[in-house]
Amino acid sequence: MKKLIVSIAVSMLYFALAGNAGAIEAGPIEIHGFISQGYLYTSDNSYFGKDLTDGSFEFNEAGINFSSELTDKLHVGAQLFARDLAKYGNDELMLDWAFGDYRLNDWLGIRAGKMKIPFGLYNEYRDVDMLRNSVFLPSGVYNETFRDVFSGLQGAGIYGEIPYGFSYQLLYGTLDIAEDGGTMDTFANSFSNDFSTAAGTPISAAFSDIDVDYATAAYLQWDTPLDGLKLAASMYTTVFEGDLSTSLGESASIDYEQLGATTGSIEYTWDNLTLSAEYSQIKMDVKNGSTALLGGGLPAGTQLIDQTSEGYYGMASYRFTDWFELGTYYSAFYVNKDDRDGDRNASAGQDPAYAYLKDFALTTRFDINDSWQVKVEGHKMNGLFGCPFTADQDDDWYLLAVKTTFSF
Amino acid sequence: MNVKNGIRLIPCVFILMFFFFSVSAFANDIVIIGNNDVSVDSLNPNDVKLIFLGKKKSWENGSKITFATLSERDVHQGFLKKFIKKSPSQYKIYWKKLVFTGKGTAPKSYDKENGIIDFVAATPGAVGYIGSESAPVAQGKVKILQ
Repeated sequence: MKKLIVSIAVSMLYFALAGNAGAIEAGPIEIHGFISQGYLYTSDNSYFGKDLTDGSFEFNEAGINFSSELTDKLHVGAQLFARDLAKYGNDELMLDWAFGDYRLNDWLGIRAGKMKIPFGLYNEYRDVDMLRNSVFLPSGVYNETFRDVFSGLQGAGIYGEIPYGFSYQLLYGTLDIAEDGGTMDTFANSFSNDFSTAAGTPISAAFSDIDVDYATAAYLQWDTPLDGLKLAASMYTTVFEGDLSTSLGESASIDYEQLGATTGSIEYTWDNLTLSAEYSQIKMDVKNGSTALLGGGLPAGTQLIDQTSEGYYGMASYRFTDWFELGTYYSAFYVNKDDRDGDRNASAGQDPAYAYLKDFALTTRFDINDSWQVKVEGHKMNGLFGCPFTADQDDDWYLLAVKTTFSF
Repeated sequence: MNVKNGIRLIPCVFILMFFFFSVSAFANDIVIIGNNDVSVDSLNPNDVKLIFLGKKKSWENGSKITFATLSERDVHQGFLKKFIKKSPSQYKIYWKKLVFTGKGTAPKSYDKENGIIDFVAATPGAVGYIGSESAPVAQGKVKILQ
């Protein structure tokens, strides 16, 4: 895998320096790709599962896609993808998307296969660096910790354009949730912390055998009569269960009876200015499904999580020249919208800052040419959501991200 | 200067840089051209927008719409400003989003207006655009739709 990445990187560097890297055409097949390499540094805390205070180059993505129009109405394609973000990904090659798309008419098309989940304005493009102004999308709505659950859905869907500027997508199917990915790792760490607090002794926990019942997504966008203004609403729900094992030698099936997210979105573009804002909620209903834990202290059927998280952001970016774009955003995420100050954490002896993460970002993008971009971005963080439950974390901290991307 | 005052200055910096760097797009008369067998004799601006955003894929008779763009800066910028309401970088990223999510294929792009005229003339159901000063060259080879 590393040799493949190096080969692709060398090829892309050649095309990037040449400045005119378009698609590669192999007969009826078009081939596009990208490779990104970044650097992360935090002033104080571990983030994305690792200590970044000495800096880290464990931050890259690579993708290659193949597509073809088999007939006037039938399009097929697939994209292979690998990423590394500190503890997560580790350049494991995966199928990012692969589907057939039959367009009956302008208002109805059918897709089947593995598709990116349409959630909010930018979820479908979150893994492709050159498609956005910033290195990281606002964490209030696009938290990297939960990326693996929001990435792709295997199943079928319909989509189309309907009168008066509306467009829609509806998907139904299932998804793969990695037992050691960001989402389940975060839940495992949270359960571990709660169990340790309840028992008065350290207890570790880990998930295995994630079994997804179903996943469904719906997206509606309105390109309004005011040029440049679009509104959108999206919904995404999944139901699954996972086996949780603890260091006490216990194991139980944890039922995620609902992990459902909704988002309202607005974006306005005028000339080279883009303004966007989104508000999102994630409802979580999680129970201990099968077996008592903590020596009977948590009987089967115990409600482990019943809360709604909340996140929002406002973002602005302006392209000053062909090669320079400046952007900024303020984003906030609250683990429980009914406990924004973290009182529950405080009463359990934890830092209340684990209940939220507020993020002010300033980002610069330099387009060396059409195929090569460089970004430098700084974040002023307040809060500890996504950081480990250790005593050495600082509520106020900084994140620096530098990234370069080659694409064709 | 403390952090709060520094943060308050950022919108001011944005506004100053906006006025300093704002560049108006070159206003060019744009002509929409179509293959002679296209089933319509004119296109309204909204249909032009839908076609070049890949949202309108077939003519009323069910035949496929194919379209091409120009990489010539002034005409392309004038076309995008008049019909698509996007800057060249926004239009490029729009199509890259479709390509990298498997939802579309980027349109062909030609360096010169003669190239796009020949493409539209030779491709059933095709549309494109040229500057108005090139319209006489296109006369007879293609339809003028807008």
